[in-house]
Amino acid sequence: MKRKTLFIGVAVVFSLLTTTTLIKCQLDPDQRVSDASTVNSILVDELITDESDNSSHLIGDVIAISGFVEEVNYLNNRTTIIVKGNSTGKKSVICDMQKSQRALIDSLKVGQAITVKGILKGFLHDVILLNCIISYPTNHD
Amino acid sequence: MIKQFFALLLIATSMIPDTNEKIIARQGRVSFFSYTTVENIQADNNQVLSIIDMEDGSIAVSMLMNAFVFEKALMKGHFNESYVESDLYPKGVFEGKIIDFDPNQQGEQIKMIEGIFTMHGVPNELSIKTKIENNNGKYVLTGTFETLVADYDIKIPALLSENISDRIEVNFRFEFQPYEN
Repeated sequence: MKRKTLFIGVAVVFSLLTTTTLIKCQLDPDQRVSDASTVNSILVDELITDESDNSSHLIGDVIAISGFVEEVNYLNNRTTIIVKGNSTGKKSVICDMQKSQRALIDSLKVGQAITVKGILKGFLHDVILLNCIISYPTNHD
Repeated sequence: MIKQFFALLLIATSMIPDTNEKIIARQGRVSFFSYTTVENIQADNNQVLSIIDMEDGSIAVSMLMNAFVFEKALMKGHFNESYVESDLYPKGVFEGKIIDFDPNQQGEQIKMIEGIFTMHGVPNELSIKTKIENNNGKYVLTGTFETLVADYDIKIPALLSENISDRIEVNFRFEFQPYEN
């Protein structure tokens, strides 16, 4: 009886894990970012200093980063905001924006404080965030 | 007259890039295509890093495998989890050299890039024909090549073998700017 209960328990946990993984895979990443209400909020300076040491466990998660607009560009027919920190040297966060953000992006100014929410993909020279939306643009520099 | 000569000399030398410099592309584009009669699959990565050392023409490229964007989420899942195993092998890295690269040549030059591309933990020698455009020190590299899935020890399940081509077409485009360490 005890063995049967254990087997059922394991089966339930396994199917729950499988379903969760499948749902996570199938969900549209743009929607996933838009729907994420509670996310890790990190300053650009912290993220770049930590790099892969303390932040690698967040890869694949929706996070919010706060910093200052370094550049907005439309390279490769994508809309990208490059966000820098106060003291991160040449490293920045490259945020590949969702199409829906175009109107908000046109009004951004270099040096403006900004918070961007997106899926953390990893670290190259810069930190890469995809499927991004502007979470909190502010008017003060 | 001497002033004019020096002014001309200054303008001319400012147009020649410093060959001790490195140049960097932080948002290079790499796309791959698989064409079969069952379906066509395309994926794009728009955040590929590349650095060129102008002195010796050596080039390095690094990309996050999980940053490829697919049309369908299911394709992306298969690619990352089953084929390239991006949790275990998060980066694709190329290290090589542009053969007979002349950084001072203005306009277009076609060169071969030879080097090793490591993906899925498997190194593979590549020789890639590349167009290099130099517009007053602004360099753009573009090219297309084909590679075999089997070269990277990627196993496609028999059930999906008709959906994915053995031979993958890869396109790339990098816009470089001066790199300051």
